Amino acid sequence: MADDRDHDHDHDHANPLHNHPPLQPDDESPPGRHEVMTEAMRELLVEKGVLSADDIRAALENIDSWAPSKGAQIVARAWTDDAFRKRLLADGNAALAEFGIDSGGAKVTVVENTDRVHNVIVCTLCSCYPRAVLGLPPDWYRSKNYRRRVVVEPRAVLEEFGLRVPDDRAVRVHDSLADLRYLVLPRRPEGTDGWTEEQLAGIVTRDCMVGVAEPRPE
Amino acid sequence: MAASNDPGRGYHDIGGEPGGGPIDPHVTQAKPWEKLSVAIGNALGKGGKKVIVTDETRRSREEMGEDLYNELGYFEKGVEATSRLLIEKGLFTREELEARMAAIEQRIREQGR
Repeated sequence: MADDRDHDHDHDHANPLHNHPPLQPDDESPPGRHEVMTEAMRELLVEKGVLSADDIRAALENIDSWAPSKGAQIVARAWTDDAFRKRLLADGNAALAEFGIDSGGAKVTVVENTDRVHNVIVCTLCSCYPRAVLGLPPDWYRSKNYRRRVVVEPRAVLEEFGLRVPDDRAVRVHDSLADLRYLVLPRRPEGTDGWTEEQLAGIVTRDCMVGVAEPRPE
Repeated sequence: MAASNDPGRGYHDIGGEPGGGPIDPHVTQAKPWEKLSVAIGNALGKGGKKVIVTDETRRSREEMGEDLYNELGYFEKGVEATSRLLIEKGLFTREELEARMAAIEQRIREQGR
């Protein structure tokens, strides 16, 4: 039961949507227009019964489940299980589902790096990205300079990231869409014979699966 | 050579556009409101209530105008596009949204986040 006698502050108890403890008491910067807009949308959508508080909680929880470690597990399995690798390349969504990963409706196409081809992904129109297996896209992936440049001078862009692709290896750039996302299957590096799947997954980073880096056995 | 009904190139369609500078490799963490904005979009979308579809939010993003598109940050663009779409669909009005925003802004200033 709410009992006003216990309260000597003016926290807004009239609004059931604001009965949470402060989320970021340490952030005292003035709120930006779109931060405020986000909170306003949340309140209006809940009040009007479009979304429940639990719908929003579940969606936030789902975002926290997205991580490059998921993609790394898939890559390590593909390196150690050739039948899985073939399934992954044939149908990304179905192979991800084997790991219990819902890729969210968009088609996922996995592109394989070899001695002859290096793949890199971009979304020139916005920032489409296989979030379920890589998390939210990093700032540079969303940046205009990456979107502008990687499709016309991919080798120069990769060199900026410290990756020199040999001249005799083709570089293929894959431009994602809202309905089609790409994931790079990196080459398994030398010096990893006999490694467990877990060890292998440990060297597969987000950037390797975007194609701006390669796994290193360290 | 373009046909008279050629829609031209959208301001969002920047792949291959000349004049791009160095890529800043610095990566930041999403703030709580930024994650909330993504969560709201997902909860309304294909995996949730199916009130909106990805192509609609994309269209909204591509119709907000070049100045706003270039001025806003990544998550801001998403919030702007989603709010415009929800107003268009009649889920709430522009007036309701602005009034609530004013109240929330005051609340955050007085009580913190």
